[in-house]
Amino acid sequence: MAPASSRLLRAWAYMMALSAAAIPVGRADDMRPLGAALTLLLLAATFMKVAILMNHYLDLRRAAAWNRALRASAAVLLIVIAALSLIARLA
Amino acid sequence: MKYETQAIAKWYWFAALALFAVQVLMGLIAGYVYVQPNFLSELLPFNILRMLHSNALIVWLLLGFFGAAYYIIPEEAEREIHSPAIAYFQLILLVVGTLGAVLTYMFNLFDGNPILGKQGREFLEQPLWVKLGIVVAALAFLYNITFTVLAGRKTAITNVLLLGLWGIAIFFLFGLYNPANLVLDKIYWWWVVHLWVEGVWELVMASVLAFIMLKLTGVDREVIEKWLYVIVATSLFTGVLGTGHHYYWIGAPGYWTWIGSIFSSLEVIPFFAMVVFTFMMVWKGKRNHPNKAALLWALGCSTLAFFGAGVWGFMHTLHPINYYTHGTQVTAAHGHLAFFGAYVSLNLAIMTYAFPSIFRINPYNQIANMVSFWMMSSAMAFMTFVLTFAGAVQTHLQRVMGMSFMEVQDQLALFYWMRFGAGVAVVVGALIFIYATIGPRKEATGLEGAALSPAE
Amino acid sequence: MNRSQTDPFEGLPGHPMMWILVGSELLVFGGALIAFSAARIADPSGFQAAQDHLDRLAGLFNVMILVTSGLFAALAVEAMRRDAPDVARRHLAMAGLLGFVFLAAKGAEYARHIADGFTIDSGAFFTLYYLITGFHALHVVLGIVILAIVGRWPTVANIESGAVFWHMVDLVWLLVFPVLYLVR
Repeated sequence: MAPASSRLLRAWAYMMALSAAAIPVGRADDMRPLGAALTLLLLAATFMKVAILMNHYLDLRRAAAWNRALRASAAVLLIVIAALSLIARLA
Repeated sequence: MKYETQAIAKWYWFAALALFAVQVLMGLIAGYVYVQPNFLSELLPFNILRMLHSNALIVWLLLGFFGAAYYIIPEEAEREIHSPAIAYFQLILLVVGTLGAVLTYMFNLFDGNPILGKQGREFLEQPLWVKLGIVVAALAFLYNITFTVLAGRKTAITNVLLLGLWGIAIFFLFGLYNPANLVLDKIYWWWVVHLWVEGVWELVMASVLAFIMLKLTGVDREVIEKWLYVIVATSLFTGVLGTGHHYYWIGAPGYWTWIGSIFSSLEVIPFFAMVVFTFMMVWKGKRNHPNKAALLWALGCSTLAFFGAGVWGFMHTLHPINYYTHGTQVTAAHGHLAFFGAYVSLNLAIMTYAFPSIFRINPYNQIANMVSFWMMSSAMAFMTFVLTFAGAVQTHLQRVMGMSFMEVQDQLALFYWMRFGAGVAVVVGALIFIYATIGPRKEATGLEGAALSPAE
Repeated sequence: MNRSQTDPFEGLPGHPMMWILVGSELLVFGGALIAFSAARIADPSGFQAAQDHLDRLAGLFNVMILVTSGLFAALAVEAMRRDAPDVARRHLAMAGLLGFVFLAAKGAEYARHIADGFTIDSGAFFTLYYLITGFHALHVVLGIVILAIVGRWPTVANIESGAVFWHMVDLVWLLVFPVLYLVR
């Protein structure tokens, strides 16, 4: 197998594992509420998936400035969403 | 001017400038009625003044666009306009239609006649024969310019310009549909108005600015075209579904509040891109073009459009905010600076650039032209600030405190006086502009030959 | 002009206009997710009650479908860069097929919501849920069409552009799923 293909397969495996983590972290299989800590953990896992996708699938390894810029915007978006979710818990 | 038929533009622009004078004059009188409500109330009631102010604006801007197309397309396509006769026929048709609509409206001619009389609509009100005449004029125009472009060189500038002008004609067709249901009426009204000014007119704006930048800065066409495509893509992407911001409170389904808020808040992007584009091109440009006034108008156009359309539009486009500000003077502030920045300045920029070349002389009356720019721009900016404050006060008193409309209007008198003062300066600035472009010409000295040298 | 020195799109796979589109789409979906999170503040318990009607595992299933589909799109680009268009097309076909699986699963979810009486008018949660997931599903449909087109004319530039669009659709769902289905 070409090295590029095995790199992509590894990226896929990490993303699948991070997705599966949504079952315990995001309590995807039950109705219990999600605490603040789990919410933050869930969004952090989401960020890791997004970063892997940008790096390997979108091939932004080759365009470092774009990679940084897009990753930073995803981080800002998830931080804003986390902040709004935490405010909603207080409301 | 390299092609004889580019001079067709001159006649469109003469008509446009005449209507420009009418438009600002009507605006000034309407502004005075705000503070002296009985002024001319028998002779020219406010609803007619307001109609003339906004409709004269739309018509002269369109005449300006047609002129710009007749000027730009021969130079870009590298051939004469397909049929000058059709071009003049189109202008006559538009002038007759405009006069017909104004006279029918002012004297209520042919009352009740379905073809010759008024249609009784709040918006898109023209007698049916005028609308059909406009359709014929549009078809003649599209035939004329499309065949010129098809037979000649195809550039990104002509492609985008054609796309914009075809869009203008296609969306006008929704004005022919006159549903009895007022909600549907308003929904389709916005297909004309919004999809024009926040859709296809932006394509015209981008391509005309691109042409001016190409000529004035001497930056490579390849670079300018890349920018042009980015601006076009983002303006259509945000502007089309951005129509939703007109559907908040007119009886359309509730999901439009979200579609409108999300897409229209991004409408600032193409306007921001146009600011970056124009300033980058000037900064990178190698050429020192003698027509400084045209450059000033072009830079002023993108900057004021960004603030008027982009920033002032964003201010009240989110539906939780618009719930309070809808239809207040905030809207008037946005409307005034957006139209002035984006489309008035655009037309004045291309006229300032092209008139000297049509008259085959060097740039002339540049000082007067630039004085008119600063007068009109600063007065429009002042008017915008004043109306924004008025709108904020009005929103609070009327929508939050629940005071009655007329009571609130009394509280706003001071702002309306200041707006009237700004209006006087705009009218004077407009007259100076008209004098500087089509009045007696005094050429700039020391620039002989520079303006007439090949631009590309 | 020397393109390599001043081209801001240097290093990006596919056509530059595709990246303009990707940027615009991310702004729209990002704005929509922020709007959703902000609207929750006004009615946390209503959002909670509505969210409990979603099938969280079905959403997660679709995450995995798109992540796997994205793998095939990325493999298609690699194959095309090795000048193996037939392999690239097989991978694209797999990517598109998984797109149909996504749509089938999403369609089944919608059918259950409608059977339960939840439509786009059933409060802010469902309005935004239908708008965001519906707009995303339209992009899946468009993505399948794009994959078919670039598969028909397989050049490196075409397949890169098609894959970039497909990964954008994937990326959006990675963000939409936790925010709409899980955060509570």
